[in-house]
Amino acid sequence: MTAIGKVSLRDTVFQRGQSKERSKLLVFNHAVLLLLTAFAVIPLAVLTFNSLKTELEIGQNPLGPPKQIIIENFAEAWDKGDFATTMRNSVIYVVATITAELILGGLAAYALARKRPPGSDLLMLYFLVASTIPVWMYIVPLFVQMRTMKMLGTFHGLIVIYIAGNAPLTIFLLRSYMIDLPRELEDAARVDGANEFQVLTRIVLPLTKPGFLTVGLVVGLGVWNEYTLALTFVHDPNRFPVTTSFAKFVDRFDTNWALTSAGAIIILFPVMVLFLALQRQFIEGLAEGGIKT
Amino acid sequence: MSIHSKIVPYLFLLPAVLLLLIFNLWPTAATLHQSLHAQSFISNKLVFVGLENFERILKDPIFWKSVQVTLIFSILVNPIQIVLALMLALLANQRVRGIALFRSIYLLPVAVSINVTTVVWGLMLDSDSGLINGILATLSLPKQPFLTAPSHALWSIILLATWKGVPLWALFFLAGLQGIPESVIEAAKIDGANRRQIFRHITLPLLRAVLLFVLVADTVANFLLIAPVYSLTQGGPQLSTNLIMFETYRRGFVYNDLSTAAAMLWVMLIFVLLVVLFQAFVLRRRD
Repeated sequence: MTAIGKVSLRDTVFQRGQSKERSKLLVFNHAVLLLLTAFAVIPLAVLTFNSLKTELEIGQNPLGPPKQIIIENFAEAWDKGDFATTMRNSVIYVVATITAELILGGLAAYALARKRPPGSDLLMLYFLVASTIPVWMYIVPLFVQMRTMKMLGTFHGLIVIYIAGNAPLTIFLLRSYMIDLPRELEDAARVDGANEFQVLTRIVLPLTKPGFLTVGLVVGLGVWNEYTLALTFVHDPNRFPVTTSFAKFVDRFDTNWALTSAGAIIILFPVMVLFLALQRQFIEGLAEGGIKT
Repeated sequence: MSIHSKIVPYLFLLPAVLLLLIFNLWPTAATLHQSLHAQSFISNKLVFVGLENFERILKDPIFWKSVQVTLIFSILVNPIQIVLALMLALLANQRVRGIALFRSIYLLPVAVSINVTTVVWGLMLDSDSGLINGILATLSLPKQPFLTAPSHALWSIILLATWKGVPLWALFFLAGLQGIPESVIEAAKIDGANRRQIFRHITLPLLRAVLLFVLVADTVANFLLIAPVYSLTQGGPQLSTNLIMFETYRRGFVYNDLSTAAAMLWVMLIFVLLVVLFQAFVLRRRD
């Protein structure tokens, strides 16, 4: 009897102590969460505020919320930045790159994850190293090459550069998503007379959808935000992407922070919407693939 | 059948390999060729000079100064980013109210392009009208020359890189954390393990692969950082933010010395290769 009483007493004391400690911890966690959120959000909030102010108000009140909301900034930034053209172009660059990248990368990743032909290890090492080299490290020889191939200033020229630049990481990541799939399904399909291509498209592809989504998102984000290569390989304003619209504000209308901020928001908006919508699948995709070599 | 099945994998690899051969491997190799040559002033042709470009770099105090800046930068920025990212991921992995909203918010900087990031932080760090100096002023603290003093500028670059980098790496940590089965943690709790013990003996070992990946990817990414330096400080003041990548850019495109720039690129490439091989080696040994 007494023994049981002692034990239960100690248990309740222990639990009470733990729950006190727990609530203290929760307060601390919330405080840290709040701090980190503020760190992430404040620059973006300032940007949003400034996009809604007059240039005059930014001078007097560079940080706080706008006294009067000037929505016209967006219309003006849209026109001055020629966003109608650049937005269309960026969508072309992003969609074309993602599509080609996933087909090309999917095929290669499948071969490396499943078939492992002789030379696979060497290829993997090359992809691993190549994925860390930014394109502009070899931008001068690439420029010469593009000129010889008569691909300078074309849509497909820039798209090809984006595909090649992202291919090593894409293949590397897609392979890590495919390598752990159970083989039984594929074998069953083969017994039923499916060829390699059908096995890939009907069996492997549906099972690795989160992986493809994640890689597509990473590649798409990179292309949407890319600036240096676009400026180097495209010279016709009719083919410029959105990032060049933004650069125009910073260079030419140096003093107009209202338009610069509005321009930044215009570029950010579509990405943020997409990003928030896909965030959940994105994290799940990363979790499923893991980072395996 | 057997010949067919031997060829098919290579057919699958062919498009990617062909593309990379033309638009990645060949131009990278061309920079090696460039690094072993010098531009002749008379004929504008390339003359073979062997390792002269490499020797010149190694004797150049400005190069060594940029190596020093890069080392200091790396030693500071990588641990700061990784510790904050891990903290962020652990917090975001809890089941508290509003966590989904928090996850969406803290991820936002990932989607912001480096150009926009640089402009926004340029505004925030402005010596006269910047947000941070505004806050300091209301606390009656002196204004700080964030981008214009050699003692401050590198820290400003670190701040900016951290803002953009932490959510990205936290994303990878969060993915890793969500891959840890709930049952393992529950079992440890039943055995009486406290939070610190669970983190030290369960979470951290299970995150090893992710941690190693982030460590290497973060190191390489920061090593190659250039955009904020380019737009905010141009390597200054007094070369205090002259990171090696920016020094390479200056050689190649400001001073038009492509051969020396190419040689520098290869010095950096060898460094990156060593880091990557280290990762591959450590990961393989674990398996």
